Amino acid sequence: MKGKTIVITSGKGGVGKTTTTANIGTGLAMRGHKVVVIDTDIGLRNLDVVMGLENRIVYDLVDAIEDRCKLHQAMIRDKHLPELYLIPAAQTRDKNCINPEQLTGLCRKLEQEFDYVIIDCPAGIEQGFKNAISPAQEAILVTTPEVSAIRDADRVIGLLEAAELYRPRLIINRVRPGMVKRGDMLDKDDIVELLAVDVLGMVPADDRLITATNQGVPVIHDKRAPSSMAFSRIVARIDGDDVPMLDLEAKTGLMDKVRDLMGISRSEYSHA
Amino acid sequence: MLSLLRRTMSRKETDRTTDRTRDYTKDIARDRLQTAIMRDRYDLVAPDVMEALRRDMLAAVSRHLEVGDGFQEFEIRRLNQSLLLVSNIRVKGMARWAVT
Repeated sequence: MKGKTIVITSGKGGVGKTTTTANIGTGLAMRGHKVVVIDTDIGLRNLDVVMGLENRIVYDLVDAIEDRCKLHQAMIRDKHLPELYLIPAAQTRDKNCINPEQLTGLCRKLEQEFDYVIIDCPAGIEQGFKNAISPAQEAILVTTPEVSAIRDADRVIGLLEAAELYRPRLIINRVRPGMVKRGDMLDKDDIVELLAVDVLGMVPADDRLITATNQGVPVIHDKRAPSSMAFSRIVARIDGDDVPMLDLEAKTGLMDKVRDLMGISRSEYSHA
Repeated sequence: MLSLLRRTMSRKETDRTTDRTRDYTKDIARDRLQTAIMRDRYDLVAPDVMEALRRDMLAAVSRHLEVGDGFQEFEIRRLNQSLLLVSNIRVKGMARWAVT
């Protein structure tokens, strides 16, 4: 068995990389795959708390790399899915304490055992970024429809291509369909025109994502959450399914048309 | 300034839901990003790209005109919102096949 290593990156911080990693990892495991997610944000670990596994950490990524524990001892099994594991970042070290070769070596080992190795990349474009992208065969770029995040995404696409990670796929996070409709938020076509990359999916801004994360549960478990549906479609695409891209405003029921004609704003959320 | 004015004027459209005239701020965002991204890319790749471009352009011009050994001027300049490729080359003579 030979798995695939995918890095989730963004350049800018705070766009939802860690949440996206948790949901993609969880989603792939829900589809029956063996998945390990790795937090490479050494010194600022967060993937553990987003996945609700923060109380189970004994060993971390740096312990595994520096042979202070066996690789399996640094892997924390998920609460809900027996085939999902987390390797947490070290909290008391810094990003320079590992190098790309060490992380690549670790991922090559994991690929023997897992279908997917998902790497949560730290923000920025320094050593931590270089470490995180080094083992990857594919890159997924997370952005929000804001000028700062998109500009940084363009910079990161250049760096990924320089590292021979061609055609990164884009997730546009925290889309607010109402604002897009009013012409006050960059839409998918604008962003594709600016960045010239393929879009893997769009995730609506969603209160239920925040309440799920508050509880340490990736929102993809909450089937009725709009962002959950969006993540499920993204996961299916990563897994090779041909899922058509829906507009976030795709609700075209009769009532929506009536509301549209009457100028009543409808719910911001549907799914992509 | 002029382009900002033009942009603002051209994007004023009537919002059907509120029935008033307003700007699409996403168009302003897109235009600003286009410029910023272009400049970022230029700043990062300039030296080798400019050298390759200079070589290719000199070769292309030389196929049609008799020119000296290089450009008098060859650079990218910033002009308001955009970048300009400025190149000057001295034409030494016209090849006979270029004359009708």
